Amino acid sequence: MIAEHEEDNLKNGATQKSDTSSPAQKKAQSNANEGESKQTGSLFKGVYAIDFKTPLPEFRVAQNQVFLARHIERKEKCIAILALPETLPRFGLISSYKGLQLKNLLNLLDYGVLKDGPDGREYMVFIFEYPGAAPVLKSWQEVPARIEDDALIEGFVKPIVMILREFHQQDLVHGAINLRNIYLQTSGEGNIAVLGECISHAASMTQHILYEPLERALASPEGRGVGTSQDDLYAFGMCVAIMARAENPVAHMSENEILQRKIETGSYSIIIGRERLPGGLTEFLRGVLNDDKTQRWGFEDVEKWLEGRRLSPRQPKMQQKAPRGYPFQNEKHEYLKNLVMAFTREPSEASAVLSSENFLNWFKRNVEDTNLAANIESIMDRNKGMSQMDGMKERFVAEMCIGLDPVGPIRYRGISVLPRNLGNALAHAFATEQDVQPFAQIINYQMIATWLSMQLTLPTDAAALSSQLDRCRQFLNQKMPGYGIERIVYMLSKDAPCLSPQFMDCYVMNAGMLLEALEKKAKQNKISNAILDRHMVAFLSVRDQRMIEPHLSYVNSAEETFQVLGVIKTMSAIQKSYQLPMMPHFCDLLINRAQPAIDRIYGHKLKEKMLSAIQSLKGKGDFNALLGVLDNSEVIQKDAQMFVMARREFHALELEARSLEAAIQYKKNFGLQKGRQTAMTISAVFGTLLFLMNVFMFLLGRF
Amino acid sequence: MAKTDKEDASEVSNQKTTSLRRPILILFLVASIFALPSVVVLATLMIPTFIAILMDRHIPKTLGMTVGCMNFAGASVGWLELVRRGHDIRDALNIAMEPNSVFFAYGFAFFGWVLYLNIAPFVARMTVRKAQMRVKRIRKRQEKLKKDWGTPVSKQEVQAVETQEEPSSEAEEKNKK
Repeated sequence: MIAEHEEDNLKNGATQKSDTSSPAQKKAQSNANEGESKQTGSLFKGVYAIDFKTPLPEFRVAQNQVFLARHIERKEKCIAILALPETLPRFGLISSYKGLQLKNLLNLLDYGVLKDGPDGREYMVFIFEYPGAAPVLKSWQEVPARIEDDALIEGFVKPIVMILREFHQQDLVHGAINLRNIYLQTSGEGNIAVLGECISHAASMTQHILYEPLERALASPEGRGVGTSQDDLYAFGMCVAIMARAENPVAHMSENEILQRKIETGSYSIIIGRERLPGGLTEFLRGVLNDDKTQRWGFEDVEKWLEGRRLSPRQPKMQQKAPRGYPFQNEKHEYLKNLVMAFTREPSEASAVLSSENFLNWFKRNVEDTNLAANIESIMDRNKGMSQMDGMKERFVAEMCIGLDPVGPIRYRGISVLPRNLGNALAHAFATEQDVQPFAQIINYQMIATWLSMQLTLPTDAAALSSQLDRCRQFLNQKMPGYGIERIVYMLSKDAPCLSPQFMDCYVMNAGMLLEALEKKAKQNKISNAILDRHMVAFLSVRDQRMIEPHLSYVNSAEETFQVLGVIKTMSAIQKSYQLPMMPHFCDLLINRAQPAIDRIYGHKLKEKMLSAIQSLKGKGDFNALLGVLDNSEVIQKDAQMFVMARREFHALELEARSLEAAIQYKKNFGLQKGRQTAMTISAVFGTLLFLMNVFMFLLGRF
Repeated sequence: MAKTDKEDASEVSNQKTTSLRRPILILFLVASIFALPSVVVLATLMIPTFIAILMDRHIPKTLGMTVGCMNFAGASVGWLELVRRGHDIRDALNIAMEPNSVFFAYGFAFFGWVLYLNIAPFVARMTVRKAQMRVKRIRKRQEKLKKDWGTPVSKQEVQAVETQEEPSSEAEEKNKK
């Protein structure tokens, strides 16, 4: 039911302008379509007036733009977040998030596709209530104001933990808890803390490295994906620690420095140091910031702590420090994770080092971990003789890094991604026009299977993950449109919109929106020759299979005739299923390209009739009617049968004509025989008549 | 070596001639005994027919029949005169020598020749013209078929069928597997 509502919302959002826009809006929209002028505002669904002149940079996260919006009837202030495709808004979460409606959570009022964004392009817009307070921090480098200990626990910790409990109960993960996304009102009676939204971008994509546990922090922002409620608690623990200290000791450190410090000193130490914190906060922070995932507090622990029970979290196990550091890139690395990070930065040099006796000896003497030793032994065996081959070095280094740091992400050719989030990372790479080849290689080289095999405790979803990736590998190696790497992105990323290069300024979330975007492009005369490119076919094949799957062989046909028919069939199915209005521009374009489909008809009269029928459909935008003319199986079958009969008649006539011509040309006596027989007949008739006349006269006695 | 149609036709004709020759000869001998005067008259007056039969080299042999029919119509004048005079051998010889009888018989035979020599080429010309007209009509119909169905209508069946084949989903099924 919720999913249906969501679908309706997307449909409504997609068609909002056609229903509700004023003449001024229509003009603005046409300007937007031309992409020539900048908009000053837009009316979303006829309810929310978004003012592009009033940006709200303090609420901005990632690349998304934030503007002030107003409910046009109630005049209430709202914020409008305009999301780009590369930020991958979490559509799967929207209905659950909207249903939460909590006091201390930034509530979602509406969402959908905004057709006329500030630069004329389409955006996914999310309308949230106005927080009424500023974020705790406006930049990562800022330091929060000190607040009383009781106020911190009662007005900050408890409300947010309550929200996180709601999230946890609904099996949701926020993934964007940081001090720039928490709004705190300190004036008046007590504090009011409001947790910001988490749906206008992919989980953890906007997180600062400080707020992520070490194993996730090592992955790139788009490669982290959805974590667990423990990760939310870790991020919140960092927020509480900074608030409690009213100081951020790592504020001016680079991301690499923070990572190194996390590895060397641990998460708790990096942010708390030797500071003494009030009451039970130390206990809470030691629990949620524990670097050992198995020891890190979960919600049950936090609830017990809130109830006042005394828990004593175990001291985190420190990263093992090697007695002798290993020299690499003019630096001695005493911690294995630091060394792995250095290896991933310089894979060509690392390849030689990792396969050297020197490194293996160092490892045996300095790292007392039999599991890791078994990992690297297995990888060395597998890559025997290949590790120094061109093109295999990077793979070898990536696999060795997995073996040396199994809880970390897969790090390969500049990509650092956790296996469960390969899809979103790939979608981000497509959206930002980065090289996607490394992703294909990660799948083809079965690095995720390698990653799974290196884990000390096998994840519960290992089998599902493994079989999903196997399917992806099968699809990846198929060249037909609808398969290949484009299909993988939509299979693995449920939130990815259609990333076709033709839709750079559109936001396409379903088949209906795809058709509307094509109509827009046709209006702008910007449709490419292929009409449906690889992305569009893959997108439809995964997101709305029944729209294209029956016609895929037509769409992928090498013959233009069937290609055009395939596109028309697909568009007709979409128009019918989504009950979309007429699409005159795109339909006209298909009519103009329908000549090959008419050329398959044999009968010239029928061709002319069909041509005039489709010409009469111009400007109407009805794909079903167009299909009715071009793909009427009864008419086509009859035409083929008539053609076969005509061909037989032609050949029979040809044989007759040739035999007559040959007879005329080569037989000198052609017709003479008949002539002689005629002469004989005439003679017989005359002779008989004369004889009878003689006999008659004889009988009359005239002789 | 395979026999030609012409050879076959001549063989059949020879067989027919051979099979008819004996009864005619018997009939002639019987007629010679019982109706010698008639035989004398007809044998004399129908000489052009015998010549025509001997001259005819075409198959089927129609010249003898063409000339013979007319010749017999002319000879019947002399034969009826013989019957009127009492069917006597002397009268038969007289009649066979009479210029009147000879004129009628040979004149009619000549007319038979005229028919044969004029009607046969005329009919042949007519037949050729008719065939030419038919070819013209066929070509016209073929042009119309081409106009209605395009040049593929004149192509071989296999080529025409190839263009009608719809894309198969075999490749797709393979992909799914």
